[in-house]
Amino acid sequence: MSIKRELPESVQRLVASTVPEAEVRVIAQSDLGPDGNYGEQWLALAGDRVLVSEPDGQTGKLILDLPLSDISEVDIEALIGGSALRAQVKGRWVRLVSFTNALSNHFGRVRAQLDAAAKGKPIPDPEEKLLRCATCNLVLGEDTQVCPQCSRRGATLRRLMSYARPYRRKLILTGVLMLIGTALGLLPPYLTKLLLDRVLAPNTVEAKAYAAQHGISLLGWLVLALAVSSVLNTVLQIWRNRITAWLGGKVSFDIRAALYEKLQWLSMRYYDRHPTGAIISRLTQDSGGVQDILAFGLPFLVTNVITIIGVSAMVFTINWRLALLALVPAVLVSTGTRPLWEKMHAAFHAFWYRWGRYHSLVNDALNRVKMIKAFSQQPSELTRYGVRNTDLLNASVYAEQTWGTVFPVLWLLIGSGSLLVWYFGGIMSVRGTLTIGDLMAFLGYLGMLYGPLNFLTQVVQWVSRALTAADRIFEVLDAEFDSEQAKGEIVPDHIRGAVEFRNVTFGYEKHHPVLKDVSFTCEPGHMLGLVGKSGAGKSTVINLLCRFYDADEGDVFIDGINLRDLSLSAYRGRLGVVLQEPFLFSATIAENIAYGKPEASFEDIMAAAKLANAHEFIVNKQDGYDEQVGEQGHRLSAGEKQRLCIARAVLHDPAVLILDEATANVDLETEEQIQQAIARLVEGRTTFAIAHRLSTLRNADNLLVVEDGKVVEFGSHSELEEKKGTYYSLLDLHRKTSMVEAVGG
Amino acid sequence: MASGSVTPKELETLRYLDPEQVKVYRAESGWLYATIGDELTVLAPRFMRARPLADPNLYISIRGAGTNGKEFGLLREWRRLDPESRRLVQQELDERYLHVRIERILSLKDYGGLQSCSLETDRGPREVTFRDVRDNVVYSGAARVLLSDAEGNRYDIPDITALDRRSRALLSRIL
Repeated sequence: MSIKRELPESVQRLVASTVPEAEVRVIAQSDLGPDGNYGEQWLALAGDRVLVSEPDGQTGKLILDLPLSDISEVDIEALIGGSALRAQVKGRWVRLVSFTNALSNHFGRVRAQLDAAAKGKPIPDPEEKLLRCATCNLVLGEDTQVCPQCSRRGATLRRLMSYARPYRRKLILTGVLMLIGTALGLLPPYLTKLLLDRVLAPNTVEAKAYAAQHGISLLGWLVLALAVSSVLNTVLQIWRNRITAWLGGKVSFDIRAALYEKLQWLSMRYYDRHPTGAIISRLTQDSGGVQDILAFGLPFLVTNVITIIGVSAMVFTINWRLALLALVPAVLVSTGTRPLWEKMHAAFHAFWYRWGRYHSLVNDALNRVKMIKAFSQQPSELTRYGVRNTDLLNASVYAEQTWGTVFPVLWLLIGSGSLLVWYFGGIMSVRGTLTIGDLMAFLGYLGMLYGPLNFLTQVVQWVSRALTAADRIFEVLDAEFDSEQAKGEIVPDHIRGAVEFRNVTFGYEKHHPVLKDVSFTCEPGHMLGLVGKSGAGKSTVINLLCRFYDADEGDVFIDGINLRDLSLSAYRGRLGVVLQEPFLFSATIAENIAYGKPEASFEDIMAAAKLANAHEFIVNKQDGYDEQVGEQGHRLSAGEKQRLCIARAVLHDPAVLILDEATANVDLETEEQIQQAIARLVEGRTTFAIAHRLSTLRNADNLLVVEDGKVVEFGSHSELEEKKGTYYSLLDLHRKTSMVEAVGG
Repeated sequence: MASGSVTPKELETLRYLDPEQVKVYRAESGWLYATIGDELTVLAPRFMRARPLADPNLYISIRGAGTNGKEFGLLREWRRLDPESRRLVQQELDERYLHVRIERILSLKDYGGLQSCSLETDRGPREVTFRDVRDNVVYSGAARVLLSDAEGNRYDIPDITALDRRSRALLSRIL
């Protein structure tokens, strides 16, 4: 739905009668009625009253009327399938109005406005992103404000062609080759006509006399001309094909490279919103689609248009009456059979889609072989498989049968045009108004026409598909860099590692804050432990510190410099991360350790591994430091992976170090080794550590206890223990579960 | 408000509640309460469906306030609650679950990558845009299809074979 900026008249009247002469400061429109069905409700902050109403007849119906002074806070409650704007009234949450996910953005803004009003702050007026096209109401892409329907397709095409601009000489050459090729293609039927009329079946007295005298030599010349034209045509065709193949490949290579480069710099927010599969399909399918249009589609389009013009010119010169007779049915058949083609396309699309689903089922089953065997679920797997396979069978039979039926019918219809020519042209020929040569040339030309005509009837659909692929690619290329975009300029000589969070509020979706007004400081070289239940916001603090995201409100400072102003590459160069899920890539152990510092010498790598308690196990491997770790390091144990990541961090020599649950899922001895390695790594660096085992945070200088996105306690271990607050109760719980673990083994 | 220590037994077994022991009411202050027998009263309880798709009216979980509120018990047949409690639970469920069922598909246009669709649902008519609908569909069980539109809303077709012919034909063009 599109969002209106004004209250409907009936609601205006209602507001005016409820709160006379009040200024309406906030307006919101919901897409659900009070009964929860699709409908309309309006929220207005009029004067100091919050009114929710429904347009109804002359004056709207009032549903809720709250004094603003009763409201202490406004937030958004996530429901199943939608959300509700709610207000805290005297300690109790009251739902003001529900809305579907289509309006999350709109209500995110309204929440901020109402919340500010309730707290007596000035009402902000953040810009609202356009989510639907103002003209046609179609949903826009997530990172684009360009409507795929209303945007001029020409603009996309021009932009696509701009990628071909560096190769314009080759493009012009291709065009010229096409023109010559088409002209040469028009020759054979004409030569055939000459062959028949002058040599084989002369129909006038002079022609007969000429044939008797020079027939054989003329025959020789004509056949030679036929041969030369077809050889030449073939040569030109090969030349042209080779150029277009190169051109299409090169342009889509350029686009793919631009896309991949962009993917490296896109913000985390972008990746949160787009599943990996969708991004991969941009790189593979969509760029393939673009290559199709450039390498095959456009040349094909141009040759076909030239052919149609050339052939029409020829047949009209030979005999315009017969030309009309032949062309009209040809055009009718080509346009009339369009639905058949569409049906066939749809059938094949359905088939390919089911093929994909079949593929993923088999892939999934093969990845779970062990699980299937362990639970002896072969029979149920076979049933699941059977359903999917039958689905595929049906789709394939339907597609092939449609093809098998439609295609012969199409040929029959196409052939009907030439039947007309045979009949009426035959009559003309018998009556002597048309030579046999003309008739044969005519049939030859007609045969050249159907392909291009058919192509033209589908060209709209086909171009639109290809341009959609191009649009999807450009959508990524145009996506904002988000936090990376505002690249800071400041490159400090030295980062000491003093960290400050000042009034930071942040949510992965802006209307759902995960961190609320978080402030704390960490001295350089100190270790800060982050404590809290899962989902409390610990990892979010880390994400902001790494600047994977920017704070929505407030700022983060490093050595007193706002993180937004700091050069990202300089900062990240001094930031080390050891995560719960160790991230390794398919390469050797040495390459994995040196990932953040490719220029490191092998001895440095070994020294780092030694410090991380990794050297011993590495050298024990068959290929030592040259051992391949496999995809995501699957050939290594959890503890080994962890220590490689620590070695990497050691080599990186960061000023600010982040440790996230580094000792989860390992046995005691390994944990001991990892702890040792970490203790060496932490020495002298600002460290942020998250650990579920609170005992591992005992060495931290300070602990930050986070609860529901807010800082509830801050201080050293002993301070917080004495305080007997949240940390103390967590510690208590921790002791008990450790005891259960110890007893349970 | 519920309080008291949690024994291991309570942590490991489900607790089914007798509908006759459960009372839900709204106090004059506006607060919603649920009492379970004589033993406890839950302030601002939340009612969640255990199987919102397969069997929305069986197994209602009564939970504490807040998204991390713990479960106090499960109602197997909540319709046997007294009328006032039932009305309040129904109201709470209706407000929380904005579940939409597609009843008919009236028209469908494919713009190559974007499909615009005019639907008739149990919550009224709705114009919907799907983006690459084949990437945003979930097949659940034998005949259930869940479609997600470009704005993050979900639409349920509980039994695709039960749709009318035209709706199925339109759907088969994009699925």
